[in-house]
Amino acid sequence: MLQIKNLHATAEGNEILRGIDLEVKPGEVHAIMGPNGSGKSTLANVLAGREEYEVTDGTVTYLGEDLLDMAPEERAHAGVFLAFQYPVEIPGIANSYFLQQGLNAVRKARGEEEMDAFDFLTLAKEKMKLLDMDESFLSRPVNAGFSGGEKKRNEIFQMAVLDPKLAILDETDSGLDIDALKVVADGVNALRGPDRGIVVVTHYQRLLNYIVPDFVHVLHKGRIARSGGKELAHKLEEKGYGWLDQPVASA
Amino acid sequence: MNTTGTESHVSLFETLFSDHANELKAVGGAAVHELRNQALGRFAELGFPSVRQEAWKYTNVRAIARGVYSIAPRSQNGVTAEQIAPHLFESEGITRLVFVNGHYRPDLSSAGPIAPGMKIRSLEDALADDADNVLEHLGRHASTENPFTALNTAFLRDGAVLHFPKGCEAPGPIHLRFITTDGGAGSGDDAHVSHPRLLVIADEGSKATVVESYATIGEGAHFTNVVGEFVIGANADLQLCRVQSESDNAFHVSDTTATVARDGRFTSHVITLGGALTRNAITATLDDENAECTLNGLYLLSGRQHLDNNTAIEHRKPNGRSWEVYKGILDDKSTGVFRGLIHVFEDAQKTDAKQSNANLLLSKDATANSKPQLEIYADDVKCTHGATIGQMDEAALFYLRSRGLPLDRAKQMLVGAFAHEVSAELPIESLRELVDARLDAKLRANIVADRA
Repeated sequence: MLQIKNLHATAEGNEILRGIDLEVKPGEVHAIMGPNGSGKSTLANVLAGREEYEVTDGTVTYLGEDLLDMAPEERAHAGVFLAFQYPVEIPGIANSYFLQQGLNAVRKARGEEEMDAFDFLTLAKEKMKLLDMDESFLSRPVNAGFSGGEKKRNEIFQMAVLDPKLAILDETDSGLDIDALKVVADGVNALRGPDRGIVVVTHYQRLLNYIVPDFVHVLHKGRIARSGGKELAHKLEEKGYGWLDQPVASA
Repeated sequence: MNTTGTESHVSLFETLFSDHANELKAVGGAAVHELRNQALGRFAELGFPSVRQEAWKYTNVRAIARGVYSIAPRSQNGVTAEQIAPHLFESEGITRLVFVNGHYRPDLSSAGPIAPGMKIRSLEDALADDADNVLEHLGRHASTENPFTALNTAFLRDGAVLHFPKGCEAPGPIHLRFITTDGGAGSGDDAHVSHPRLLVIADEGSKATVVESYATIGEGAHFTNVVGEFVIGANADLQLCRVQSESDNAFHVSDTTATVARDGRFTSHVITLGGALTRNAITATLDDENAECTLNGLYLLSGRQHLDNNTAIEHRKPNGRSWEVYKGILDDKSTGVFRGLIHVFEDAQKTDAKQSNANLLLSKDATANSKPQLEIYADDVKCTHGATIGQMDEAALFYLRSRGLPLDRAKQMLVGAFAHEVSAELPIESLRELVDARLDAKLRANIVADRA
């Protein structure tokens, strides 16, 4: 469903992605690991359409379409979802209003009927149970004053409501204690299915104990330095990212 | 003082005054007319303010001074109830006084329930009934050092006098609706000028909400120059909402003064959407101990609109509290000016004052000038202030879009959220909804215009 070929991207003139190749098929869970500054978050943001990053070369095809040619909202309409590393606080807009508006924009773009407030609340409450969230979340302003864990939970909640085809999780584990991590991972696992592709971006192997990936890719200096199965994550945990600087032959 | 080269424009108002002297004289008797004559003299001395004066630094009134104006006759009766019906808000127990081109129109007004002793009258009626009582307060609070206030007093004729007696709780809001007709597009008529005058007396322990709203029928130019004096007694609680949505070619100058006695409370909500050039002065004087005031402001400007909110809070006595939040959204080539003086007198120990002004610029060509000004002469006080001028939060915009919201809608939601903090404080639900709907409509129109 997602084919990334030779992707290069810069931020403020600095080249961060230097030729990424990656293919994600429906039903697969891919983990992208890498040290700080390796380009993991840049990759996630480029896929979601963040304008601060400039794509200088390469292609990204999503369900047969040129993803890079789509506006961020068009990507959302087509089923791409990014769970943010740093969810944005928006005082003055209630969480439920924000999400209902988003969901209905997506439904409208897909030619589906918009959901009324009653049906939306029924859906929202069902998904909140899944993530062990209090209903008061709905009336609170979007992420404003949320703890780190609450913000991350809110991202996964939004993902559950929007029901994307391709979900990209950008360091969803950062700032979570072990209990919150389990809840979030359970939420993500509940969304695993034969039609959905999931890309998990993480610095640490810890999250992958709970969201077990089919493939692990290690990003280093803007390129995929290693690819393998879930055992690659354990090897990284054991040897550290310094191992990447050694030649591949010695691995 | 008269340094704008607008002497000849001052004399136009003197001519206008002498042309209407007989009509003016007929309202309120000799004492009132003496007040007018003095004020006209003061206006002639002062002339129109110059940008060289600190309080007018960012607002050039040349466009107002150069206008040619006429005073619409009372007899002009073109306006119908249907024409003023749009955008009226309903509220339980509301009393509405409607003014057309500055003249009270009883046929368009509607009386609501009143509490015992409560008096709601037009200025003309009040001056006819008991001029002496009115003169006890009229002109005692608003300062004719402001040339526009002097000009208003010179042409003082109609407006509203509201009196809430001791312990009175007004059963509903009092809505003062000011409508100006533009004389008909292409009619060649001079722009209408009106000088509405408001006097609101809230006696000890009384509680009331007053709404002033201003609109134009048509898109033409006119000049509204209003002065309001609010006298808030001990432990009284007065809320004032001012909603200005006149035509984008209108000039609007207002001078609101509130004098608050011991334990009293004054709250104002000043919403500005219309006008080519608007200047709102508001001065709240906490005249005795433990008084408080809240000044809220919200503005959404586009095109070449210019708005100057000039606020002053005078903390004269101990234990006073004030809160001030002004938020502005500026698009196209508009200009917003905020000046917030907090003056704490030596005697005003334990004063607690908080002020903030936040501006959101939606265009590269929009300008915001923000000038907090703290003058503190007491040593045991808490005063904080903050001013921000920023652009749309790109990260928030991206966040909304990533959840499927189209760019226009995302912008509208973010700006709406920014404005909501202020509009949410409006004390009448139907008015709040009306203001939000107007904000949204104006915002939508601008975002669509930007795209075209």
